[in-house]
Amino acid sequence: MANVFAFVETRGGDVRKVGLEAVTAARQLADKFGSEVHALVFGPPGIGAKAAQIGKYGADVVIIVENASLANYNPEAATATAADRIKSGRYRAAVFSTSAQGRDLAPRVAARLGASIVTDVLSLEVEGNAIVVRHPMNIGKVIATIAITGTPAILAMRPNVIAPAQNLKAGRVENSQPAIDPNSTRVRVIETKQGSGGKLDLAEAPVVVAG
Amino acid sequence: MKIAVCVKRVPDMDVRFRIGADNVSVDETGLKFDINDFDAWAVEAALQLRDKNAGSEVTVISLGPDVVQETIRKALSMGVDRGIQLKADKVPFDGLAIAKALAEELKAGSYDLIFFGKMSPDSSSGVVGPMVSELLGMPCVTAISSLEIADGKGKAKRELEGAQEIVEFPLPAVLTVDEGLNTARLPSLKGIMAAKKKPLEVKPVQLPQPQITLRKLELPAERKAGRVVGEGASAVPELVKLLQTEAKVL
Repeated sequence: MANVFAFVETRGGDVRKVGLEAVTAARQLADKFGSEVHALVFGPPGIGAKAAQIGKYGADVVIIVENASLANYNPEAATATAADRIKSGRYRAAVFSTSAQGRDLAPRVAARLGASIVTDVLSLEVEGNAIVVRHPMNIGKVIATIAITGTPAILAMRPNVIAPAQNLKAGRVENSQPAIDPNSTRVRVIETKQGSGGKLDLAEAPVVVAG
Repeated sequence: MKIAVCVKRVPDMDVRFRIGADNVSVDETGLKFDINDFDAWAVEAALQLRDKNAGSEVTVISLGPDVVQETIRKALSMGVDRGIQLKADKVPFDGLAIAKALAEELKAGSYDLIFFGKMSPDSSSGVVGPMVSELLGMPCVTAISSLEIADGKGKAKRELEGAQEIVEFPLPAVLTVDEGLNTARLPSLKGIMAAKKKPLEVKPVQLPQPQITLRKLELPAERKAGRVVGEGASAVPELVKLLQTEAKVL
């Protein structure tokens, strides 16, 4: 069965809206394949409590990976865990977010799987064997239509193009472990400073007013 | 230190693009090309590190047809020591195909640091740097806006949406550069003259079969003209009503 994988982005022990959008996009694909959405939530203890919420957005299976060392994003542990699961689950497609974290994570996962990737996906369709997506180029002045024929197809959705849609599913919960020990990784995020002069979180904003 | 910087030749974005007759490329007639801004900041970061660490060398690498030699010369004129062109008929859209060709070249170089721009505005994918790191099994930090290197270790800052991450990593590593890390130097006249004599090696590469295909390019739909609801405070109630009922944003 051509199941679809979704990576649910978290920060500070909370699911981000872009994570729910990834689940909704995965649901759209899975409905076309007549298959299941398996959503992976990766974060510190307590993140599992968010599982019911993710089921509500259309995940048939919620894979919870909790670890005390995942309070900050860990690129190597996240890459290994997502790539292992996508491989062992033989997914047809894997959906990520084109956020700061997703831009870091999704290409690594794709390269590890020897798969190509399209980021900033605006819309998606299934045509025969191909997943056909739209992607902005030249700072949005050109829109490309791209066919992905390889399996797994790795997609990263542009934030705010798909509204997280409720689609009640049982959201069967599976508990899992990081594929590698987060304490053994070479790259370590030692601190995440919230709102400390960083760019505003436009990805989470429902309306942007510009002058 | 041995440092590599991978750079891309990109068109100036401040134009109205036209789609080529094949429907899958941008018409390049009249477009001006230069080194990608993010890549120029990556070159600058590499040059600053080289100048602080005696005996260091910076190599610039670009994949594409012979026109990319112009981009390589630009980096050489900024002060880079030598250039490598990975010669291919065109730059494919598939980032994995580019990453594989670059990784093959980079793995032979035993570099301590490999820099990329965080993305290029033309393909707008931003995947090649992290893909190369994965193919080489090297630590990677993407989209850095500050960098300190000392004693074989590095510390960098990444901008997130509404937050920042402080990241530590060991060398050798792959880094992709965001805006704000530095201001790229302009080539001096002396630098431009010197660049003509610097080594530029040309190596033909075979690109792997892409798993993604560009079906078509099109221009986005024109935006509808804005509407002026009225002027002054008297127009506010009408504006609020329209924002609620028509735009449905309030």
